[in-house]
Amino acid sequence: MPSEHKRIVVRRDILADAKADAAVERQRLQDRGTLVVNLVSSPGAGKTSLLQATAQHLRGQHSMAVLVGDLETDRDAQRLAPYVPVAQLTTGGACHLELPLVRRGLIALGDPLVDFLFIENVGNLVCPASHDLGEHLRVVMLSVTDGDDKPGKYPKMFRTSHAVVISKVDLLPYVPFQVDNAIHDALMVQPSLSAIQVSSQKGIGIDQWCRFLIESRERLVLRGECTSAV
Amino acid sequence: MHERSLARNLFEQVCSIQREHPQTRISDVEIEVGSMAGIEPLLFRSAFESLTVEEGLEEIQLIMHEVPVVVHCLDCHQESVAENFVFFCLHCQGKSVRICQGDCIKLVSIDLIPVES
Repeated sequence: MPSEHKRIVVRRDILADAKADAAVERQRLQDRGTLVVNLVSSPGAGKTSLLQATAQHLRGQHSMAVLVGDLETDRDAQRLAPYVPVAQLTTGGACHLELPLVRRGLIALGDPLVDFLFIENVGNLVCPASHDLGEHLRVVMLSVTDGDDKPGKYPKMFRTSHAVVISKVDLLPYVPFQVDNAIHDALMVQPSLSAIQVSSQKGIGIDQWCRFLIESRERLVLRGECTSAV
Repeated sequence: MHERSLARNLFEQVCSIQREHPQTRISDVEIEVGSMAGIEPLLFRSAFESLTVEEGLEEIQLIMHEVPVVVHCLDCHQESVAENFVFFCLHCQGKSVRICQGDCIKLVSIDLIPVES
């Protein structure tokens, strides 16, 4: 390097500021008693259906709101609107949500005081893995029609998640999906993952899923055991 | 493609740092890209270079080092490479590990050179 050059040594994650912002938002919502769940999956895994079933199951016991991310249209928000306060986050082609968009959605909802805030991310198992949205739980959904090889193919998403929900299990007799293989591969990537099997259409596993949510809120938010994202 | 979004993030950070040093321009930007950073390095380079062209700063050279995922074992406190994204300690086979390298894009350094006023 010629002597007139100046080298500025930084050695810092380029997303460090965004992660710090997300930590502030996570704490703010935690102080209000809200558990934030970032729900991620490939397109069509059943995120919206799971949230419909969750809203019906928790009705009268716990309050919730949903922010729905999609590239275009507000169809998912329309599906959820009869059950819960919901705001559509349309990314206009962007493949993932980022915190400023989430904050805009919260403002659109009037920053509601709820027990659970669900962020239904854009259907994509790659890009959303890199972006902390201030969630306490990242939950990756894997539908039995997606294939049981996804944990190994998308390791970052599974490594950065707290739970895997295997969805559409009522279709297991008709597809070559091996639940044990999927869970084994997911645990190789993230040994602390909780695994839950559901069928939103048939109501299978919804009780266990909601119990997991309620226990997670008690542990992470009310007892303050959440210190950071994965 | 979120490479474009992350490349813009990096570009804005290096420009912000450069503005703290008047009478200079950026010659090199050195980064580390972890194998679990969630990007395709070639696409990231392409996105960054297209930004420098758009901003009239095409003289900026991006120096990229690809680094593997390294985990620190919380049991035996040794480090090992997480081959094939299987996260356990190669020394004691323990599963309580923390990623200490390879899950992000790290801005390592920026080289500035003086410009005539």
